[in-house]
Amino acid sequence: MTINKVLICPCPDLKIDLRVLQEYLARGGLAARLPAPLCTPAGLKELKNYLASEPEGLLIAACGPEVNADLFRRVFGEKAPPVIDLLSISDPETAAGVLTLACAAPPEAAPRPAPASRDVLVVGGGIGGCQAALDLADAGHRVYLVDSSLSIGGTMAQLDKTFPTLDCSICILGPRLVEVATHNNIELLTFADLDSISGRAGAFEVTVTLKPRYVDMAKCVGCGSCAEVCPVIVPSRWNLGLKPRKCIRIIFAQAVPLSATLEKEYCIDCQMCVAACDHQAIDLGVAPVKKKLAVGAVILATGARPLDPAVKSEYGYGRIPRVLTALEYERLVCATGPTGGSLIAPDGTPVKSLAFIQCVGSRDRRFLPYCSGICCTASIKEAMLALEHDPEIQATIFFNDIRTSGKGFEELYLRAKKAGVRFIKGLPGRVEADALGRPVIHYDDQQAGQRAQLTVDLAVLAAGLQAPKELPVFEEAFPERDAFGFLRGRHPTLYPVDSTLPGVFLAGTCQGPQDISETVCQGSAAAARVMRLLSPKNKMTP
Amino acid sequence: MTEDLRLGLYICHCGLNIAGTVDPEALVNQAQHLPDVAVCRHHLYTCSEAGQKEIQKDIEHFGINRVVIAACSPKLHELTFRRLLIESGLNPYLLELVNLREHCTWVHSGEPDAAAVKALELIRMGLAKARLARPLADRQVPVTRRALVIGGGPAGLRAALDIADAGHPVIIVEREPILGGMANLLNRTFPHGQTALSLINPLMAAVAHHPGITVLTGGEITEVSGHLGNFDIVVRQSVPAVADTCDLCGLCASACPIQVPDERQAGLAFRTAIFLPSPTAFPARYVVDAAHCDRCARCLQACPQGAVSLDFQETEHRFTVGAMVVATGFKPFDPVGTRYEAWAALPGVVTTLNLERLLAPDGPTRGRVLLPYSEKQPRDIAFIMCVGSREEDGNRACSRICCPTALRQALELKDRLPEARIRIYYRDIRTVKKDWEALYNAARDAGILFLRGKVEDIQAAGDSRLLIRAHNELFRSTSEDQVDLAVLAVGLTPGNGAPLREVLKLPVGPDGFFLESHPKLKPLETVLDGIYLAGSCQGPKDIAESLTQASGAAAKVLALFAHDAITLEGLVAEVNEELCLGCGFCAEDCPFQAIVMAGTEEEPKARVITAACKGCGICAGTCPSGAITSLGFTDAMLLAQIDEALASDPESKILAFCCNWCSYAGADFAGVSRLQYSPQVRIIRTMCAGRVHPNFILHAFEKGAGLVLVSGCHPPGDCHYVSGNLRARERVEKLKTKLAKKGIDPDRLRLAWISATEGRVFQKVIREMAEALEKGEKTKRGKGEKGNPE
Repeated sequence: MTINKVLICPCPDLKIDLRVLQEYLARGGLAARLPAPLCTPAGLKELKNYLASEPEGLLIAACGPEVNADLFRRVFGEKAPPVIDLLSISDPETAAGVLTLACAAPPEAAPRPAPASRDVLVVGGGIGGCQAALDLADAGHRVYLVDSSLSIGGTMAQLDKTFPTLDCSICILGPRLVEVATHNNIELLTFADLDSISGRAGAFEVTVTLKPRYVDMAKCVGCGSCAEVCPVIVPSRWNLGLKPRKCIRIIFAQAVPLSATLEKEYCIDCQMCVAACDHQAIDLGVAPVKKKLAVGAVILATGARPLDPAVKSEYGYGRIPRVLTALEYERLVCATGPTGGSLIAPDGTPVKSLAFIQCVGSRDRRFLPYCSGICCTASIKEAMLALEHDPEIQATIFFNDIRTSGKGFEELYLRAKKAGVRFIKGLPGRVEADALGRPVIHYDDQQAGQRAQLTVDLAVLAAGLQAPKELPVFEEAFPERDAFGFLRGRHPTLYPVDSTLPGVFLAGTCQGPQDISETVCQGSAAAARVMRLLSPKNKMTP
Repeated sequence: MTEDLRLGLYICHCGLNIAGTVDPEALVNQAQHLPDVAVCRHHLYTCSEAGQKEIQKDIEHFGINRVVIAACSPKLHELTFRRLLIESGLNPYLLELVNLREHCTWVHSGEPDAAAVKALELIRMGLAKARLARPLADRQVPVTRRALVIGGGPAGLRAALDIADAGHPVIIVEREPILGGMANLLNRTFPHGQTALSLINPLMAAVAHHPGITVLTGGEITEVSGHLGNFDIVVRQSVPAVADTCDLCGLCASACPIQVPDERQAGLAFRTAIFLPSPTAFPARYVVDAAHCDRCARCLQACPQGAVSLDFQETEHRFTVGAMVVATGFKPFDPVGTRYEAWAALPGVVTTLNLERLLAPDGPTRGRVLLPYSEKQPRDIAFIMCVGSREEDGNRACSRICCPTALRQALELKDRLPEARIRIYYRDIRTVKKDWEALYNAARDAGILFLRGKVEDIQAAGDSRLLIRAHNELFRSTSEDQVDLAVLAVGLTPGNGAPLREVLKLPVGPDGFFLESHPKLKPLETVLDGIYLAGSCQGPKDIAESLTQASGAAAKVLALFAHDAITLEGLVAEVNEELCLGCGFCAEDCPFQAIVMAGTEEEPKARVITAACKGCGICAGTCPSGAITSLGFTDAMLLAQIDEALASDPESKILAFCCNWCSYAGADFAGVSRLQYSPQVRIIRTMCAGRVHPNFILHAFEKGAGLVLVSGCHPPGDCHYVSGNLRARERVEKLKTKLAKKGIDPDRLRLAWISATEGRVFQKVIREMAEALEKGEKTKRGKGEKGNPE
């Protein structure tokens, strides 16, 4: 079948001059017509009339499927003419070339094979991944939830409280994690590495390596007697190095699954834990296990990570022990944290004054050119937590703009101001330590028009959120990343949770900074997109 | 009683949330010897896997047959622990939660001694109720696999498409004659500058052509009844005056003699009474504005299709759906009636939404930005941020999208009018999302000036210029400037959900937007099962965020529709026919027609239709003979709780009956907000204020209660059981007369309406009651009567 007519949708978003394009095409013997925009009632009617009079030999030049929602297939079914995406093309010459080629060899509508599996892989067991897994499992899909760490829960498990209500983070998260672990349709694969993902939407093959815990999860009851006898003490990464832990331990009290894990690289093979375990759960000789999974769709909920504030060396992180990151501070004030919830400086003295510095890395063209969205409200919350510990504490927040723009966030800001938290406009230039090791913050007092200093017991850096460096290994095609390294939605506005790879969806901060409730919404949204894709009744393309 | 009671009591530290005020270990020492307590433990986090495992083991090893958990609000973890009981082989209703955190330690953190006393008493009350708990059976109800989406804006469109593409029929009800919502008024969108047309029209067209989606435009929901799985809906729809045969020729409009300001063009242009609401939206059909039409019928004659009729009929649709997505969107802040009214009335002052129309090719100026009443282009332009947002009086919240909206518009103006001087008066620039900050950077790079401060006044300055006086926040000085165009960046206010709110009985937050079930972990759910939120009806959002939420709401609906049946709670009413007098009060008071009078004509007996019963207990609250048992909240249970609450020092106690949905949640909210009040109060939870039988109150006073509070949802419409609050009011008022006759001061009984978000009101009511109590004690002592025995 040859095509000699092109219908160009005069979309106001097109970057090319359509009259010029029309001329180019005419020179090549192609009749190009400009109807009303094809997604309007008038345009669709024109198209209907064209197809009624000449059902063959027509090509549509319009937006691609990431914008047009498969409109033409929806309306005209099999009779829908092939569609070429013009939105991404910015000069008429290229457009004419693409269209001429397409007329000679029209793209065939890809057949949509029925999904081979209705099972789903969710990568990342933070709150976004958990939400997606729960919604899918409730809808009857079998879900494999893979997490590289020892427990699901992600960053939210490390937080003390959540804004704006100051709800205890683990109190609301813990039961959700237990729900995930006990759901009949969810298989939890923790401490697992994702080796590869291959295949296509509806039929992906996945290989996972389960790293050895050296503890049989079926036998371990989480009593902790192994950790009691273990003689090897190492820093706890979970408490961000603020507290030592044993070589064999349960990562945190509310961990899911609640099972001990031994870290072989520190183990001295003394066998004391093996003897101490009443349930014979410890075996130092186990090897990694490989597992193959067949799934119909993948949800990536791999999260983001805070920028290492050491790169912004003027703030002294890493040099001055009393300069902490926001996440370290969360552990410090948390009742289950390294100090049992006492707000003390690293040398053990009580904190009487502290300062929070915003935009550490964020909104900085040298590091992260975007706003991380959560730090302002998180820092205000953290200042409020300090006041909860001791109402006499002097809390100061250095800011650029206060960006409390989520639901209920502004109320928290007003409450903090009323509670006596001091807000200073302007980001400090540098932080140095005084003779006692206390951070001295050098800043411009813009109101007074002069330089000033503030000495505090603790300085907390609101480090921005950074895209994850490593991503799961896709064998054939990759989901694309944006300029900042975050995974990119298929369309930033219309399909923010569909990745550029069909059948792969995104939830949470792997797609850009989000707060918890946004992440939860995205988890549910990604689940809905998967349910839609894998529904036996769905006639649409992915 | 033949069953051997074995109570397991678990006291949670909740980190320091409970343990920071009272000592759980001390509580264990005091409580472990209470009658029937077989096991008593404390745990750092009872809700953690370890905490739950411990309970499970105790049930196995020690044969625990009632579980009492003293931790946080049942609103948080009742379901969690019920599930645990099921997994452990116990009936889930053999559980009682004691709300130590929200109702004690958080609100009495300044009085640890009093809190400790109260905590133990709350535990005693919980144990008393648990002793009387009986196993109940859940009910299975079939699910209607059809969804209702309320609102046809971007969020409603996406929710409908996601549900319908997965194979379930959807009905969209939209008040306006066209789909698309507010997006129809936008020209371009931030942050990427695409036209709203190219984003929303494909969705709109897909919905309009979807075989599984029914669109009811011009429709309004007038009645909702039923519950999760089966909601009965009534929609009133005005029959379109123009039939489907309309081919958009426009002859009708040319014939129409009436001219009214066009709301689509922000009143900057005129339209006829028969008009096309939008040249691009679906459904494409002329409509008649009945309010302005004078029935001259010239359009009838002009229409070559004979498509117009001026009968203005309404039709009613009745259908059943299994779930609903509420996507009623927002309304832009209207300066009329506010302190901005005078500014907005000045020529040369427009809102961001008006500007969007001026920039639109199909707008009143065909896309040219012109000064009012002239062909001149503006040369000095100012944007004023936070109009109707972050106000001291009025809307205190940030509207989130005004900053990126204004930045995008300023950039477009700068691009079109490179010579123009553009400045933005702002308080904070809040470009919080990944792609938004680039707009701010681009605006600064383009030479747009940013002035941090609050605009105090705008006045006409002659020569069609405007004088702007602003206070610079940083330097604490006032500056003045002249411009010829001022753009007010108006905020977002809740959409047309107000009438709907009453129909759905859906709570709204202090900001007026619909309230989600939990701000962090249940942002899409509402307190009503089966009703989900999408888009800016829940709070300000941009299109991408709205679409994400809409897909999320669709996930909830699809998960529900994956099942043939759902399980409803076993909390229903039962009638003991032997005790029933046949008076029929219960049948009269039941808002759900769930009680019918059966039996013989001489001896009528009440009978409960279990499938229709909601378990509110309004019937049990009115029954004069004690014939009705409200399962889970029986008379015996509530009386036992009253007795425990008043066991010691009753004169100093305030006994508060709080309904589950509003006032109990309000007390929880007071807890979450750490609002301190008197520890004299003892809260008893009922499902509805209508459950509180006058006998409970009399019993409390007989036991010596100082004061009694009955508290429920605001009348008339907030009650989750339609009219339970009104019944409660009637009963309390009647009882007051009775109390006076008995020599009990009727002022010792108080009725208060407290919604789920009114923690402050709860605090105020309790504070006032505590003061009244103290005053009463003093006068008593003054009169030489016996005061407080201690």
